[in-house]
Amino acid sequence: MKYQLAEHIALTEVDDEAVLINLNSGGYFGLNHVGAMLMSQLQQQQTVEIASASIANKYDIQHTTVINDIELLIQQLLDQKLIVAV
Amino acid sequence: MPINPIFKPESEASELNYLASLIIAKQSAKSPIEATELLAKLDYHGITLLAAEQQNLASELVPQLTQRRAMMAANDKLKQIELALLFDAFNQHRLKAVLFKGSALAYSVYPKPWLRPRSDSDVLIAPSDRLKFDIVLQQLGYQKLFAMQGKYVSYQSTYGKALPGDSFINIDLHWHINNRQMFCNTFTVAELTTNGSRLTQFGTTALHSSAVIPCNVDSVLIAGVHRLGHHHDEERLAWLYDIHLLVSNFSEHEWQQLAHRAEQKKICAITLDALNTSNRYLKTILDNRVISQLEHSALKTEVSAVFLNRTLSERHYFWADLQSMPDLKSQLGFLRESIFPPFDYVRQQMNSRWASVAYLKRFYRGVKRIF
Repeated sequence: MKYQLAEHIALTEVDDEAVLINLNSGGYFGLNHVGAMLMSQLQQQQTVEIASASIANKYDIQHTTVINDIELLIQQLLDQKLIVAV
Repeated sequence: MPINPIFKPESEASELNYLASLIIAKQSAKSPIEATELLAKLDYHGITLLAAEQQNLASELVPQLTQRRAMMAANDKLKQIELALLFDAFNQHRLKAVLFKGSALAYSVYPKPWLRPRSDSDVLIAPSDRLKFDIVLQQLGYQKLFAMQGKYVSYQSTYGKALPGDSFINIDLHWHINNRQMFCNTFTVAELTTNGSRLTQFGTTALHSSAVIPCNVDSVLIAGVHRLGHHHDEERLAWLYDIHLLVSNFSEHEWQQLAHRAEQKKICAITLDALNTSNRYLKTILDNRVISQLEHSALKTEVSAVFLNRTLSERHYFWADLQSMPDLKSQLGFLRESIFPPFDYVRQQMNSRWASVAYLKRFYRGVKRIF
């Protein structure tokens, strides 16, 4: 599955973290370094599976653990209408 | 286990030294100032996130600072978009504007724009273009928030616009570079544009066209004038850090240009003071030959050097300012506007139903400021 930023959302990198900004409401959503890495991968048109594999590889964690956390985060981002499925 | 030495500030200067040390390198000594008080002091100086970058703040402040950094980054993104719209509109109307001071530096010399806090964005225009800019700003949804009425008492107006959420952007539109008579013609739009450089993006936001900002040499001179001419009774580390960053990458040619232009504009003494103060607190590396050159030039009497004496009352600066005006007509105009501001303006500013009383109070303040 692939996702991209919703039309009214901008992403700003803050060191190794990131902030998603709602350009309509001014609200923002902070992402830690793992979330920032996920967003970076998604913006490069990677699937969630490939992105989570690459995160698991980087942090030397089991892929199954990572994919659960990533799915939770993706759901949160979808609920907040920060990303959309493509 | 080694015990961290505790530094005890004994005076304001040593406190400034301590605060400055937090933004130039990682400090191992435990802070002598309690965390909340330290945060308030860093906020006053506009250097909190710079200190956080050096990981010099107590761990109990980290969650709060992480939140603040995200907020500042988000807020800055909204401002970037608005500034890009604004400068694209200026270009579309063929209006010449120079972005200077905090915003210009945030997007040119700071590694991340949100590290340079600022309450407004300063834009310099030609005096004859005021009305045209006013129209464009109003078309873009800006409201004129503040403008002193008078030909000489102020050379700027503030325009504000609400951005998404609780964000707000203020544009300080200047038709002279400084409100002090002595410095108001130090730079013009034409001169800053000729020497300046062009930004094609604000942070990560691209402009369709570009925005002019002063070159680093002119920015140092402007910062030196602003520090003493406009804020002679306070020392903010954020302003010194601007100077520190600007000169840190100076080439030999830029140092020479700095000395040359400071002499040309008769602001050697105040430029020298800005550089030496930056060196004292932030260990800024200076070019010794240029410093000697400025020291030599500063020996000649420069009227602007009056601002180096930061303990004088406003009256002294006022008369120095008055004497620097080109002719009797403008001097009389400045005197008249300082003592007798327009009645409507006073009523509006003092927000008083007792307009006559408010006017008398303002008149008394004006007289006290001058005599």
